[in-house]
Amino acid sequence: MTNHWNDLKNSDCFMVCGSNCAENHPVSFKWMEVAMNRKDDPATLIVVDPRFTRTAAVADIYAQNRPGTDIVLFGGMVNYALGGVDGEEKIQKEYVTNYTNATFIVDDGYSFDPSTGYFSGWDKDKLKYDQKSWTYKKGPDGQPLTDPTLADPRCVYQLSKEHFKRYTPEKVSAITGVDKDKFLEIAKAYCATGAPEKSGTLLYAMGLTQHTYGTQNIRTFALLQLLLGNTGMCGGGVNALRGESNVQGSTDMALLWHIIPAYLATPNSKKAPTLKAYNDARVESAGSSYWKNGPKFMNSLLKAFWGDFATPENDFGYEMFPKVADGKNYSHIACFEACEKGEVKGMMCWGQNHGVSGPNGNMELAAMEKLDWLVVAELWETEVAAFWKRPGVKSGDIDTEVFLLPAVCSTEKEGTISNSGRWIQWRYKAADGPGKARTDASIISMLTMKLMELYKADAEAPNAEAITELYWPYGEEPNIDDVLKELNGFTWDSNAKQGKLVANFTKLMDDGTTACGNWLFSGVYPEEGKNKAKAQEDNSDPSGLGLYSNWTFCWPVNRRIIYNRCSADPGGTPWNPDKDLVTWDGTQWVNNDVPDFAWKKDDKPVAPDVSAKNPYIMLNYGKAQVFAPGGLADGPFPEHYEPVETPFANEMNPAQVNPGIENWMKNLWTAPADKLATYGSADNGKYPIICTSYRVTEMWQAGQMTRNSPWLIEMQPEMFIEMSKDLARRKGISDGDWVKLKSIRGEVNAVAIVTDRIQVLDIVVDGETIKTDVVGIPWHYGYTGRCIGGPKGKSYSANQLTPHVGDANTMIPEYKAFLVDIEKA
Amino acid sequence: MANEKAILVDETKCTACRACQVACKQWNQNEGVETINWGSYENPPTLGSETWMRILFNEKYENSKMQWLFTKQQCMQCTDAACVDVCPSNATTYQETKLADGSVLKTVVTDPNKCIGCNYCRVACPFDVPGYSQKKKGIYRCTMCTDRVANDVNKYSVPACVKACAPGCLVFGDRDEMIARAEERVAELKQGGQAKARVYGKDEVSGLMYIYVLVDEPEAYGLPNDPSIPLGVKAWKALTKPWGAFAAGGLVIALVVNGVINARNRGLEEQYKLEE
Repeated sequence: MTNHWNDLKNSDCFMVCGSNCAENHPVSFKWMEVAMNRKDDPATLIVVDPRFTRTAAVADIYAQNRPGTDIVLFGGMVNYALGGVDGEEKIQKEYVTNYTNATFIVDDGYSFDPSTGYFSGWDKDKLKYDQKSWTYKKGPDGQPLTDPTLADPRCVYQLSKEHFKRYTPEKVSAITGVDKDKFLEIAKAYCATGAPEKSGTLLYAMGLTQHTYGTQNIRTFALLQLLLGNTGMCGGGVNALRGESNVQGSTDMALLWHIIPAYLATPNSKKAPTLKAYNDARVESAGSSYWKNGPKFMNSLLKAFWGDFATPENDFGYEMFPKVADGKNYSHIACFEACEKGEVKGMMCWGQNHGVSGPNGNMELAAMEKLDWLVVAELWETEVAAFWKRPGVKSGDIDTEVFLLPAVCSTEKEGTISNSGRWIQWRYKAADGPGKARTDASIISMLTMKLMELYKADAEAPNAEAITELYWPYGEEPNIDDVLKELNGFTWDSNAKQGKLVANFTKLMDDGTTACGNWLFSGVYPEEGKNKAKAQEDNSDPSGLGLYSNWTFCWPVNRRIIYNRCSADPGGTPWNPDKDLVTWDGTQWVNNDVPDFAWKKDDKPVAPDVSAKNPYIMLNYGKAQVFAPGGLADGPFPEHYEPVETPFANEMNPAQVNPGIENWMKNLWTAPADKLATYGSADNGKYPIICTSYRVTEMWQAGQMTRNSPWLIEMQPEMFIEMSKDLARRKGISDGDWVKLKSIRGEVNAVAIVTDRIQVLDIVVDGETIKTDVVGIPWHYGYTGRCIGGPKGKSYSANQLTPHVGDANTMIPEYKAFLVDIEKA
Repeated sequence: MANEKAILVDETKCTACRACQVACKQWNQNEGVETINWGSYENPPTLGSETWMRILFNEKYENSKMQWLFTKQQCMQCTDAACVDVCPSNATTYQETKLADGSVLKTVVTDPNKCIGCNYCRVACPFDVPGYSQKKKGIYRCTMCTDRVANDVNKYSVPACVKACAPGCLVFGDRDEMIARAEERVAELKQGGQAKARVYGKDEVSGLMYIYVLVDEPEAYGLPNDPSIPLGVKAWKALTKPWGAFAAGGLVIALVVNGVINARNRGLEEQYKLEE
């Protein structure tokens, strides 16, 4: 989240799309209700979802949309905000002109061709974009040319207008199925937050990200937020509601393959063979942004890895650091493709149960049979741990050696949790774990120490120093407090080794005198005896804005709302005096939040005109990017493409699927089990119903914890499918009947919930209205544990149906729009 | 009625996250019961000895407008309780518990040692609440967390369901204040165009200890529009109370009463199935 949970109470309008926060983030409603019940000027709640959810039940405006058409809906809103519908602009012009790149002139080579659906730079052979035209036109000084009047037809503002004018209310209605008047009601309500004093927020979750164009879904709304001046404001921002209590923390710690701790890029063996090459590339891509400090963070990270062994002479051990091979992808989808091909020998599976949560579950579980060994650390014997005895396989035919290590759960150990609002909060241990179950830290530490011992004993072990020289001051059960100190960072004194804790990341150095495991966490433990994650006594909130600045620690540097320079006008006066995060009082800055800009230098105030030029300090040229120059695989502006599996041709342009995944479609997603009922294929028509998957409040993720709890099982005891009354009638299905769902990849059983909460959608193709069925299923059920989702012997895992395809940029799998057929079981 | 405690249930804020339902089971250490999905999110299908509160999911689709109305269902702790009136063995009685702040927690309780399992309370109840449990040999229902609320020396702890409620749908406090807040909320809702908004529980059966804010007819929420004690129960009370427990054998009268109130017998069979 750019903002945080408590800040929701400051909003004027909530757009909940791709999220069902009442069910999956119930506590959000503690704060949303405050805003919605404000005595004067209460907030409006808009919910757009393929089905009427528990969030929709308390919404002011609800619209049912077709899964996978969010760019069209949001694009239509952008068009509305830019005046493309009624000729009236609703944007916050002063914000747009000063704080975004709307004034920048774009390179002459850039174009988008609606008659093909491709941006400039498409390489037909490589099936990818050459992005060099997606940039700004530069002046003789190397700086981008700008037009502060926004009149230049090649400025970002005019190009946006041109691009989004095609997203008319009629198109929105035809493609998404949302009634035109309802769409206009939504657009009007939300765009009212374009008034300078107003703020609106997007609450989203996996419903927006889990698509082949998930990144661009978010981009479209982020772009709208910039045009309406909603980012950096109290009650505004783009807020990703994270799906697990510590998924923010695990992302910060580089759970994903393309980043190393604190969002530094994973080194690439070809592009960055040396530390210098790596750091130079960081500095170059940083431009004027704060990322130019990247080398300090990287070198300190390496120092935290190898301590004394890491010296300037040996590039701080960079050569030993794991790197990705150029052009290779190591995301979940790619891993299982490789596994299918027999390229993966062993797998450690930790706090993940892809036996339930992985796309095309049958294919992924079958791929695992090619492993030599599998280590699972878990609370229970999960579907993954039991993959060798899953229904329908002969265990004797599977040679994989499986180890199941018993782990304790979060309440049986202490440590920090980073919530969606980036607050790093300590949690104490409440009870001992059962039997010989250990903490994850203990399992990792014991494994590390054993590897160090084995590597030391083996003179021929390859790259041995990477293991033997690790700085590892931990024992069998690491003191988590010490680990947090390492993440915070400390000075490195070669005599005393671990020196003094650093106050924050501005103290980190690139010369080997500091070590830091995660530069964003720096400041959480600024001095001995001061673990700020444990600061849980002072809940004072002097500003009344819900900042609670003395409550634990929020990265970066305890800043609760990022980009907060944008909460005030260029002169430093808050757009809304009741939402004053930072204020220039004429002589100095008066701050409620930690400023996200240069506000003082050498203890002297820095006048507002300086920061007004650079309000987005993490972005090149200091401006937010309505037009994204480079960086994304599928375009500098969002454009609608259809899901890989869809009953419809793309009505916006002739390119059917996101060009950003064409290369994947051709070269990677080729495993025999990766069957797809793509549009135009012979199989497409066999699966006429659009299916989407989701979570329910009573169950959690792959169900390890909830499907073993009787109090939760009794509330959602069985796998279900929600469908319209009309579809049920046509199929002869009644409430409570067992139904069989089939996709080209698998078959799942579910109990029918026949409801008015899903209606048959009117989708218009070539002027012809097509009645379109949508069904929805939860994805929590599997085949191990106390509750599997129905009587034993059948399959209840939604992900046996889902396709093994993902987003062009992040590779997050497409779980939200695919094709099925159903029949009464 | 001086200074009684009540729970305000503002159904306009309920998101049916059912944290209250689980918190109730957890605090009271009630077991999860075996259920199936019967075509609804609503489960367990009835209240019972192991389920003292649950959320009802009511769907209403009119003029292309969907309403999903959620109802917190549990013993309403009636001031004029049919179950007390009808109980032939005096097992079900009113209980008043003094709290540290001087107020009173007023509940209806059943002494399992005196309960004879006749189930008349179940059929007499206008809200279909109590039910005899073969397994636990008695009638079990919401206690308003008397054991939580009365055992805090400082003031009082709120009931488990209230503690768990994130959206602020549930509030625990003095009944007069809860009614005032409910009325204020209803006025707001009416001003906002919710013409059917109303307070429920203020005067129904002489007053409930749960005060609801609704935006539709009570029946749309699965609540009786005009809850009342059946005439037969009143007659039963007049005839049997002087004889006390002796009247438990009053078979003829019992059959008459049963006939009158049998229409309320919704879901009793499932209840038994669930309990056995």
